[in-house]
Amino acid sequence: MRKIVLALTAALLLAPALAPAQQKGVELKSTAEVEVAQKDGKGEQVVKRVEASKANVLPGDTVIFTIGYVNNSDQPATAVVLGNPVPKQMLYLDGSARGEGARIDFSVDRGASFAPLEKLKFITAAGKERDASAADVTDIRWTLERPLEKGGKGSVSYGARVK
Amino acid sequence: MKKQVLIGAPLLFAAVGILAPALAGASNNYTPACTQINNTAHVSFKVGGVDQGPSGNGLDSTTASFYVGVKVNVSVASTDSNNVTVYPGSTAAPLTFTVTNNGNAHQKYALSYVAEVNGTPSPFSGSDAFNSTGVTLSSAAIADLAPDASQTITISADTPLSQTDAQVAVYALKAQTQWLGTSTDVTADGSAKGSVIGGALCPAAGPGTADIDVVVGDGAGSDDGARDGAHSARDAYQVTAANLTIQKSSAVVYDPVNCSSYSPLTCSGAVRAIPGAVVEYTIQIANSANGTATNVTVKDAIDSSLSFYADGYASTKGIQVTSPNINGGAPLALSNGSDADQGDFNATNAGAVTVTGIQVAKDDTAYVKFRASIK
Repeated sequence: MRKIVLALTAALLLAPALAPAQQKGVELKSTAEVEVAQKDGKGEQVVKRVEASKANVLPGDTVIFTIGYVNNSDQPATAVVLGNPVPKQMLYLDGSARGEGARIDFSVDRGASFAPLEKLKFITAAGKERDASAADVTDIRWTLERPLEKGGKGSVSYGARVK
Repeated sequence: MKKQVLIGAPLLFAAVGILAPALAGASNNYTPACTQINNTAHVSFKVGGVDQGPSGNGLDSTTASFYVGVKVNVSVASTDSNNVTVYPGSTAAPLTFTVTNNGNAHQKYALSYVAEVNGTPSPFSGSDAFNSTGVTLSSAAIADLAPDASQTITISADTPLSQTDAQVAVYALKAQTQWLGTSTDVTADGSAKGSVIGGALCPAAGPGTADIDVVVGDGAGSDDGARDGAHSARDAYQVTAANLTIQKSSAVVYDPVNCSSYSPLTCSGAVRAIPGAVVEYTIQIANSANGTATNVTVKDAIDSSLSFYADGYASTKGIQVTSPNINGGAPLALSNGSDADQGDFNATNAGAVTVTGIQVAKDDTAYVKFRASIK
């Protein structure tokens, strides 16, 4: 409880200072896209990515979330860890997480613990333990294996299906 | 605009799911239409060995948001497992269906029936050969069906008396998706979207709801096409009627010349139809159809040249009936007077033999016999 109060106070104190000036550091940009099958000029089927907010996204459809990162600070960033909770209306697609130069770990307990998916156990509502599956994933974490140089950038991504 | 660099192999996910048929009886538990889905990532990092971000907790990404569209998918199924048995003249026989909302939004459904043309195959057996009368639906519309919910709908109809055994009448129930609170059909992707978003269907309209779209993903039914917002299924009536045939035959059993005694019957040589002879008449009732004929009454007037033989089968019992439902199927002699048994002579009908209460099931036969003497 005290921690939350402190965090809120800190946010309030920092807010005026943060608003005008761009926070220097690693900045993220999150995008959501869907793949749409279209015919190209030659009549051949091609798969095109379209922003999810401008497409028909229905239950059962797959959305690809991409998180771009860039180091806007004057120095290398170390211990760069990107975390992404899977939206609760979505199911992570097995094997879809990508991230060059990053170790990818998963959580099935809302971020309390992370490990490669094949090493995770899931506690069912009935209290039984079983091997975790992709559908149990609540959070994905990318840990960059090397420092991110000044101006360095990249992206990580994952796919999930609308429930 | 910073350039986004995609790393790794492209994720080639086909756009599946729209047309995937729902498993019978399974709940889809789809994300409701118009739900906003947000994705926010977080980064923690150090610069110069110091945790960065407000209070050192790192930074959040921009939030990528989208709304879940309206998936329209209805299915109609018959819950009967065979043609529904009707009888000539039967009224208000039900054909039972379920209408199920396999989409992700509350919908209204307008209901109609199709009287199929002759020759249309029944989903069970036989093909359409007649039209019922007085066809009605249990309701003309389902005002509000929640996602994954089903409602039972019946077609009820009367069967004309003229219909014969084994005839089939095929009907289809069709459910057409409409927007809640309207009579506007949803027939194609994007149908009448403007009247829906921000209205009853998506009450929580907000920024971005203009991008919510409508995708119609139903399968083809018996009497409608795929992805037309409608679905239909067939069911059928089959008539079960009795088909009675009656034959009458006669045989001379006694004549006063060739026979010396009637009881016990003692004759030598062939008996002849001469005055004073006794003739046995046999009326045979057979049923060649599927329906059981009940309360069959046999009436036979005695010709003026004949006299009813009052003691034909026992003292004052001149009528004999053999029917599967009487006396365990064994022959039973009936008294001539009007009383509790099934037959009489010259009581119910003047000058005639009358036998009532005969029941003849499919492929059964009943017999009525009586005797008369030639004047």
